[in-house]
Amino acid sequence: MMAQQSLEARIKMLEDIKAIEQLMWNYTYALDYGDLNGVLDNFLDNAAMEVGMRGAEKGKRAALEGRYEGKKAIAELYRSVLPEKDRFTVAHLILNPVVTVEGEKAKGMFYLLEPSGRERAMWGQGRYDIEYVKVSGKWKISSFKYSWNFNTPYEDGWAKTPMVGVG
Amino acid sequence: MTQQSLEKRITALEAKIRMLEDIEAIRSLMWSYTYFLDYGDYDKVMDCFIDDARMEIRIRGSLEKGLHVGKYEGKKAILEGVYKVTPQGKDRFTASHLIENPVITVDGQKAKGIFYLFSPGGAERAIWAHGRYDMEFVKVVGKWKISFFGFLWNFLTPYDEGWAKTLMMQM
Repeated sequence: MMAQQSLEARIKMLEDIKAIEQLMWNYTYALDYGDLNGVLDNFLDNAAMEVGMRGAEKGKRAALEGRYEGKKAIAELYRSVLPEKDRFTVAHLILNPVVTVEGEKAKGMFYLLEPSGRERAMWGQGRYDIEYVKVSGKWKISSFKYSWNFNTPYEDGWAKTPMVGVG
Repeated sequence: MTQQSLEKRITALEAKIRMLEDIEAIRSLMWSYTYFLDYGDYDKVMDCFIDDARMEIRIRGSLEKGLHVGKYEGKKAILEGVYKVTPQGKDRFTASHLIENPVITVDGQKAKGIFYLFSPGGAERAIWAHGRYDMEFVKVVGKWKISFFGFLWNFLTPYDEGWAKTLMMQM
C-alpha cells in the first residue's frame, strides 16, 4: 500500500512539473501571437505582478516597471504591449526552468531571452520568479515577478546600454 | 487490496509513465535532430522522418518569397528540396538550431509539438533565424518519428542589420 502511494506521488510530481513548464511555454505562444485571453487564462483573478530591474539605479525607471494587483491591472499591462498576430514583434524564449512543487502550490524560476523589434531591434533578458496554485486540476499563476538584467538596443549591446525604457 | 484493484492501479500508473516517457522521447528527437542537422549528418536527419512525411514552410503574415518556403511531400522531396539546398558543414559552424519552449501533447501513438527556433548561423555572413515549429509525430515500432513538419518563419536577418531592419533576407 505504501509503495503504491509513493509511486503515484512521484509520478504526480513529474506531471505537475511538466504541466507548469508547458503553462509557461503556452503563455509565450499566446503572448507572442497577440492572444490576450490566452495570456490572461494563466492567471488567478487576484494574481499579483511585479516588474523591476536587478540593481536598478534610484530614480531610473525600468521598462514596464511597477506593481500590478489583480487580473484587471495585469490585463491593462499586457494590452498596452500586446504583440501583433501576423508580424514578428517579440519572442519570449523561456529557458533554464527550475520548478518545485509542494501539494497544490508550486514555484518556478526561469530565464527570459527576448529578441524584440517594435520600433527598433532590442535584446531583453531577465529572470522570472513565479508562484502557482492548482485550481480545479489546473495550475494558475498567483504571483508573477520579473526582474530585468538588461533591455538593450541591438546595436549597442548589454554592456553599453543596460536599460532602455519601452513604456 | 484485491488483485483486481492492484492491477487496475498498475495499469493507470503505466499509462502515466508512458505519457511522460513519450514527451521526453519527443523532446529528445527534436534536440537530436538539431545535432544531426548542425553537424551535417543527413542520413540521421532523414531517419527522424517517416517515409511519407510532409513538410510545409511558410512566412508569418505574408506571402513573400523566403528560404525554403513551400510544400514538400515525402522524404526525397524534403531532403533534396530543403536540407541539401543549404548544406550544414561537418567540420565548421554553419548554424546551431536552438530549439526552445517545447509544448508536446501525446494521444496514444500520435503526438503534436510546438517549438521555437532561435538560431545563430552563417558561414560567410552572420545571421539570426527565428521561427515556430508546428509538428506532428507518430510512433513507429516503438520510435517516435516526424510525420508532419510545419515551420513558420518569423525572421531571417543579417547580424549587422537586425530583425527590425530586415525581417526576411533573400538567399
